[in-house]
Amino acid sequence: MSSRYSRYVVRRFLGAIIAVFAILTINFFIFRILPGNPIELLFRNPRLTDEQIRALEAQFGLDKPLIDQYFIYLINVFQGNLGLSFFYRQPVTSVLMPRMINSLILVLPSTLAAIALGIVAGLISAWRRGSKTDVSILLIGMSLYSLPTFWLGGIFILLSIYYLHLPVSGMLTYGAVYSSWTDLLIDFLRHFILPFTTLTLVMFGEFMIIMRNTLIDVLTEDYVTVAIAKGLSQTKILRDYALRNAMLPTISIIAINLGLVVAGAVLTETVFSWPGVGRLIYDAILNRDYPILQGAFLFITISVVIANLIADLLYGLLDPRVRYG
Amino acid sequence: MRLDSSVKKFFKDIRELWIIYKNNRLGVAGLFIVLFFITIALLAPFISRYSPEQTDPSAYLEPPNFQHWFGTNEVGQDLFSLNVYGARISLLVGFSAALIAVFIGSLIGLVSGYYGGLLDEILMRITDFFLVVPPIILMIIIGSILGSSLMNVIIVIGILSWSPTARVVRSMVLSIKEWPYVEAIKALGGSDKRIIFRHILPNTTSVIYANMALSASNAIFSHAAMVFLGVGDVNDLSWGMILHYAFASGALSSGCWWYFVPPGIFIVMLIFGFVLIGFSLEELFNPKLRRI
Amino acid sequence: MKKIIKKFLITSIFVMIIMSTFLSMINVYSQAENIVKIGWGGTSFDTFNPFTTYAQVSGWATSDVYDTLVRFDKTYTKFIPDLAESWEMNSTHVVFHLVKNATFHDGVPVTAYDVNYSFYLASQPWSRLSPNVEGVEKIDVIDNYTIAFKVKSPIIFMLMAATAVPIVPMHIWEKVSDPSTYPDYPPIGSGPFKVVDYKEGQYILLQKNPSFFRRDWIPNVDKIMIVFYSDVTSASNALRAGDIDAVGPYVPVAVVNDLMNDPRFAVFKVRPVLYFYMAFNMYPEGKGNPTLRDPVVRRALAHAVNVSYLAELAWHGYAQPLATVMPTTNIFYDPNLKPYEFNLTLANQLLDQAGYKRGPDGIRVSPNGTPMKYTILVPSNMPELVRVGQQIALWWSQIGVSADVKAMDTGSMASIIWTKVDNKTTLGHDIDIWDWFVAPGDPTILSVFLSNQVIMGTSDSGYVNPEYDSLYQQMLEAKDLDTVKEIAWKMQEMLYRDLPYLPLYQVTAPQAYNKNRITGFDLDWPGGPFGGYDWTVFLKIKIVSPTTSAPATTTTTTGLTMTTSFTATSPVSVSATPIISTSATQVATNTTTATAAPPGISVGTSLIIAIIIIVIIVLGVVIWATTRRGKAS
Repeated sequence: MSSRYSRYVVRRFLGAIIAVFAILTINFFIFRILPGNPIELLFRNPRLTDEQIRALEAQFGLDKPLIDQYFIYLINVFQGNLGLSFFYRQPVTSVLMPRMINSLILVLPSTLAAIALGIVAGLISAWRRGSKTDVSILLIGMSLYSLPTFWLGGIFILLSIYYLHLPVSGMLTYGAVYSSWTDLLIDFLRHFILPFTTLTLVMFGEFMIIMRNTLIDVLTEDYVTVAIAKGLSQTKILRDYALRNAMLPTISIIAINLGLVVAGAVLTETVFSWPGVGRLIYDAILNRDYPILQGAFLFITISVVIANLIADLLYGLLDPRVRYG
Repeated sequence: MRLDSSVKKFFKDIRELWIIYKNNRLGVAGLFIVLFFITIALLAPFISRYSPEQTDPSAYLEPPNFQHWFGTNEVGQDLFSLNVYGARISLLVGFSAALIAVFIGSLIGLVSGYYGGLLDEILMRITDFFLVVPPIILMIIIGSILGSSLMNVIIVIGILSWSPTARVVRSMVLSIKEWPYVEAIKALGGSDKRIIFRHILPNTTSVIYANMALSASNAIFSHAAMVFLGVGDVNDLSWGMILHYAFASGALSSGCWWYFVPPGIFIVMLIFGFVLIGFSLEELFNPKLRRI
Repeated sequence: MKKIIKKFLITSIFVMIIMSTFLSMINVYSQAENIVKIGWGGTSFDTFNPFTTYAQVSGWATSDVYDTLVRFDKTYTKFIPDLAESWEMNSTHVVFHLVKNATFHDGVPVTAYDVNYSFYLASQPWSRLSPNVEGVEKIDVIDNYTIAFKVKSPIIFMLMAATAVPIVPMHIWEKVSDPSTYPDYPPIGSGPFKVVDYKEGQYILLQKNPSFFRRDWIPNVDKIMIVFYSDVTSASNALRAGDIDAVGPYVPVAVVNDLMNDPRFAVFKVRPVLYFYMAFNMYPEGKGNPTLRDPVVRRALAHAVNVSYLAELAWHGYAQPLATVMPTTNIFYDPNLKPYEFNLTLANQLLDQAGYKRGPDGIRVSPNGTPMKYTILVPSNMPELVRVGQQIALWWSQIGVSADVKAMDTGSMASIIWTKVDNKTTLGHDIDIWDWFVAPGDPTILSVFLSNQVIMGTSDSGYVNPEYDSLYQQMLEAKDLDTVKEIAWKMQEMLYRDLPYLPLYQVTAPQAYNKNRITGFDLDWPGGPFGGYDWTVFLKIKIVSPTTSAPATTTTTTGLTMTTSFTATSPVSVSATPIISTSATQVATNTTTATAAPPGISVGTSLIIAIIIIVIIVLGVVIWATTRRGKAS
């Protein structure tokens, strides 16, 4: 790895770190300006006397100046202490962790499947651009992109009630008897299939369009025309010339669109009562549980930053201009 | 003087656009869809048989029949009227939020691309931040703080959606900056403001229009999602609100498909219309994408 | 190109296989089928701590984990001995004789000292039970199994305290540094059930306590799981999918027909414990629209609301209009009050006569210039209330009153209603629509209207009436049940006349359960078996075995032993045994809240690591597939 790449890596890392700090700061201040005294929300007991409220404030460090609180908050976050949930009266981390896992179980396979399908479809569409195949794939992709996630989920629920008879809520049947691993797997898959399909379909459209447009850009470059004129095989052209160059912007655009993935996850989880972070956020908004919102927001934005960082690093790796300078 | 020539160019642009656009079938289809909904929205009071707010407990969750073409909801309101009036809010949100988003985005893109340097870095970092942060989460949080009036929702959507426009405008500006005639104007001593608004901006309008259409489609989606999750104003008659009640009242689970399916179809159609328009505009201005 | 597609497919299948192997390691319940699952779609579970919980489901889930001195029967007219096997009352004291063989789940015997300590905790200012024990003047522990309470009113004490204060183990709670934030998991009580598992946001698992001291209360089933859902709709979906056996606190009206047509389910209406009302901010120092302080205005507005129509609109046959501030199941319900007549002409007349003339926009204006424009707040988690509010706004627009409905979460509603201005708590809203669950056995709902309740954050109407306050005090000191009733009726009549609340309707909500799975419990408990008040349902519920007929070897009777109510007493001599000193421990030390670590979190971490590895593998494959250098041509 050349020094130019190392410099690139360092810059990207620094950028990510700055972004994380910015997120932490914004996170802290947004929730401080929210209405409602946190002590009163935490204890929900109107019988607390003013004196007791002040004692509790001291205990939670809420009587110190804002700057002090900010630094305490930063230190706490780095120690893994995200505060106490107002509603569950438990540390935020213990509420968040199991939900994070559940969300990842749903989101990762869907994203991967959507990317895979999107790339393949975009490829076919771009290669045969102008033909009927292209137009139909395009239309399908655009219609899927226009579908509201929650509506698609609702349609699946309707279908399931009448025809499919698949479970429409939760991740596993509570307290179920599993006589073997296959039983567990089957139960999980039955709960999993509908939200997975919903999320994948909705994300597929966008990724397909991105891939197609990037690929078309590349395919109309001069060097590709030369390759076609030279009589190289279709596969060869695609693989050695087009895809490699199209991969770069595709990766970066997909990374940027990870925010979309989170949005889709929130809506899907709500509709299917999937016990993940998306649902937690929805409930936390209803319950005005700010620490949970703060923690979840932090988790999501930081994971998106990390994903972008990985994408950037990959981009740097793949783009020889960056690698070899 | 300045305004006059910009306006003239604006109309010339439109006419040129239209000539090419006419030939793009997808684009025309999209336009047709959007116009269809605009017509419905305008004619709402005349096409609906009932006032959308009028309740009737005896007409509880009726499937479509001759009295109620789309059936009724759980308080006996006529769903056809509700859906027809729903077009108004969705169109309003789509257009206004897109306007705000594109306005802010273009401004930032122009300034950032033209001046470059530190200002560019900072602005782009901020833009990236808004791109990276999942907008819907932020929208939900801010929406529930500031209260859920329609105006707030539009502003929130607009403010959180300008990133794609900014990026695209900026890259256009970067290339336009290098054009010989722009360099010539600079050499002749044109002021920055003049150059930006009179010379660079008119050349970016193509991208801006395309982005407006796409921003509109995003805005409609985000609005529907927010309302569905319960962050909207309950008094608004919008498609997202109908879906919200369909889900929250349990009607969906008892299989009342007439409650849930039509608003979704309308949302899809309207978004699809805007997507078609935006997509064809993009094709228009990027000849490589055109299907020959 | 085909190769690339193939590679993708292979990779994805590979990924799924790896994931499923890891998933199979997730901790799941494999146990005998002897487990009943009840879904709860109401306000979610907050904490096990019985002194700080505000959620109906927590109280219900722990009602058989902790014992109280006595319990109610389903008519709420008799007391059933629980930890107290007998008691004596006179006009100033109640003396309880505790059972001698009760033990907590950790084996430690239950003594009068535990009772004493529990009442001490209940009396703390942060405890939600403190109003229930207000009338206790002194507690004396006479010996290990005898305890005497000096009270203002023995009957009120029995109704409100003896049935409500859970008896917690002193040897555990006295070591807790801050009981107000103590999560109390697992809760150690003495009851017929113990809590053996809890997954936050998902479920509580109760298991029967075979060494419970009352043999005839020992539950029929081995385990009961209360599963949490975000709302009653999701819970009903789960019921239909066969995931759970019953739904509480009710099933939404929209699914009732489907459930009734399904032969698996039994659907029935419950005796109402829930009612909805509209509150007017009439607080003299309130910040809402001042026209609401005029009784004529409130009366006119009441005549412009058709409560029967609203009951039908919101609950479609499962609600009845209500005229007073408690539902019919409460033993102090005043049946003589009837709802205000819906009469828009009368409403218009009243307002005209009182000088509220219509302005140019049609909205009436008070004699000193305040327009009759109101904001109605409704909680967003009950969508039918939004409809109710909008309907009311429609009617009021016909009498020249403008109302704007705003829905928001209950937390924001609360912070708008009870707001601080110049450091004093006051009421900041105009009108709100909300609900109360009213326990059938006590008159505490009437305490909401005391003058000091605005500060307490309970009163959303700001009713200030010294006459009412003194009546309430008299009621708390009444010496017999009939006097209490009499005073309670008088108070309700006052409220009917002054209209701090306009009661709307009480809900005889539908409940449903899978009759092929469970049976054996009462259906006519107030609130129904799954409404949160029935403490016997968990004891009586049994699983319908399709194959084996007789319910094996469990020795349970179908009913519960009941004793007659209040025994006449003679004065009891109380020795001067000092009560446990109750030093007010301040909330000083750092709280270390014990967290319920969900089992399997280490599995979860390994799962995350597995997923990250898989993602890296997939990305690698993608990159390899598309960037491999081919043979140059």
